[in-house]
Amino acid sequence: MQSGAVPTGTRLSPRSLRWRRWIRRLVVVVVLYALHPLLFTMAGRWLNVGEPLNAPVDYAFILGGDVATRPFQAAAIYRAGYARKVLISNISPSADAAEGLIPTEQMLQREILRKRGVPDGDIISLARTVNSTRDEADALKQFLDEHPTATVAVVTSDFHTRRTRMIFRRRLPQFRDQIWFVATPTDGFGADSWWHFKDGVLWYGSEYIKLARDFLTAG
Amino acid sequence: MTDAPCNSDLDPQSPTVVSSQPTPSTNPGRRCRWWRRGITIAVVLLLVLWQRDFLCWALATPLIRSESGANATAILLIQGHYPFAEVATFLTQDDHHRVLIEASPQGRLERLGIFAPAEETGRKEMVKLGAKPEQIQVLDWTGGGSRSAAIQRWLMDHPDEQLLVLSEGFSSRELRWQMDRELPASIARRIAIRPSTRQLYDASNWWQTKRGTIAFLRGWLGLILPVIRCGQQKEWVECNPEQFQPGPG
Repeated sequence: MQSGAVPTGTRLSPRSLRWRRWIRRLVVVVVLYALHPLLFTMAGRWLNVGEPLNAPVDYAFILGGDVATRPFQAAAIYRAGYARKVLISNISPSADAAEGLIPTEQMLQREILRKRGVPDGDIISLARTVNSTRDEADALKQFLDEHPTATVAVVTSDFHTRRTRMIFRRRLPQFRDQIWFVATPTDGFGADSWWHFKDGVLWYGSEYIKLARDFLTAG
Repeated sequence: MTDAPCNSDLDPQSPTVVSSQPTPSTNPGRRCRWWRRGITIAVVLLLVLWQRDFLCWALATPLIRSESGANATAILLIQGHYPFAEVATFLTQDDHHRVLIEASPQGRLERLGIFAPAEETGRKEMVKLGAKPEQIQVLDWTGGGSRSAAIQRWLMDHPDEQLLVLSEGFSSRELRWQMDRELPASIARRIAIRPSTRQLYDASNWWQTKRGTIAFLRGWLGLILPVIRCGQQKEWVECNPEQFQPGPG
C-alpha cells in the first residue's frame, strides 16, 4: 500500500446497490406489516385523551356526531350524580332530516336522554346552530359567557377527544380549568380494531386529517 | 468546488463506491437529483390542480355500477337510503311490480323505540306515495344472516321475479361484487344494481360536498378492505351499556 492512500470502502456494482436498496425496502414493509396491529392501536389510543370525572360538574355537554352512544354516556353521567344538567347543541339537520324522513339529531338526543331518565327540565338546548366541533366550541363559549363559573364535561367519542380538547382550549382559553373531556366508546370498533371496519378507517383516518387541519388553522 | 454533471451518480458503467466516510450533503449530484425530484413533483401537482375535476370524476367512476334492470319486477330498498319517489314511479308502471323494504337487525335506538324501524318508515312513505299494501313486502333478516342470504331466500321463493336494487351511487360496485361473491351465479344474474337518482352528488361533483366526499371514501374502502382482510372480518359488536361509565375508572 502506498503511503497516504486511504481505503474508502468496498466497490459495488450499481445492480448490487439497487438490489440492496430493494431488500432494505422489503424488510421495512415486512416489519411494518408485522407491527401494524401495534402501530394502528397506538395511533388509535393516541387520539383518546378522555379523562374520568373525579368530581361532579354542573353540565354534561353532548357533541353531535354519534347519536347512538354519546347521549347514553351523558345520561349515565347525569344519573350517577356527576352532572346537574345536560347541554345539547342545535345541530344543522341532514338532508334526510330536512325532508322529514328521519328525526333531527337534536330531537334524537333529547328523546334518548328522556328515555334514560333525564327529565326535560334538566336538558338545555343551546340556541346557536352548529355544523362542526368548532361551532360547538363557540356555542359553549356563548353559554359560558353567561354562566362564567359553570363547570362542564364535554362528552364525545373516544377518538374525537384529542381534537375536541385542542379546539376547546384554543377557543375558550379563559375557561380551560372548567372543562373536562369524557370519552365515549364507539359501537363496533375501538382503538384496537378500527382498521378492520369501513367506518373505523373513515372515522379514525379523517380524525387525523382534521386534527392536522385544525392544528394548522388554529382550530 | 468543481461542478459535477447532474447525472454523474446514475452512470451505469461506472462502479459505485460505498464509502465508509459520510458523504457530504452538498454533493452536487445529489443536489441535482433533489432538484429534479422537486420539479417533477411540482409539475405533477400543477397537472393535478389543472385537471382536478377530470381526475376526481375518473376516480369516482369505477365505483359506480349501473345496470338497466329493465326486466325487474321488484325493487329492493336498502336501509338508510330512501329513493321513495323513484320506487313509486316503478310501482305505478305495473300492478304486479312490488317493493321490498329491508328489515335488518335493530340497533340500540330502534330497540329502545327512539328510532322507528326502517321498514316502518319505508312502508309509511310508500303508502303516502300511492303504493298498494299488496305491493309492499319486507325482506327480513332481523334474525341474523346477511342481506345476500335474505335476497337469495326471497329469489328462490319467487322464481319468476327479477330484482332491481337501488343503492347509493358509490356503493353500487361494492354491492355488485358482494352479490357475485356471496350468491350462486344463477341467483346473482337475476339481480340488477342501479344507483338511485335521489342523490345530492354524483361522479362529477362529489368533492364539493362533505356527504359526497364521505360516500366516495366509503365506496373505495368497501372495495379495498375485503381484499386486504382476505375474508377475515371482525364482528361488529355494539357497546355494552356498562361501558358508559360516568365516574373514575
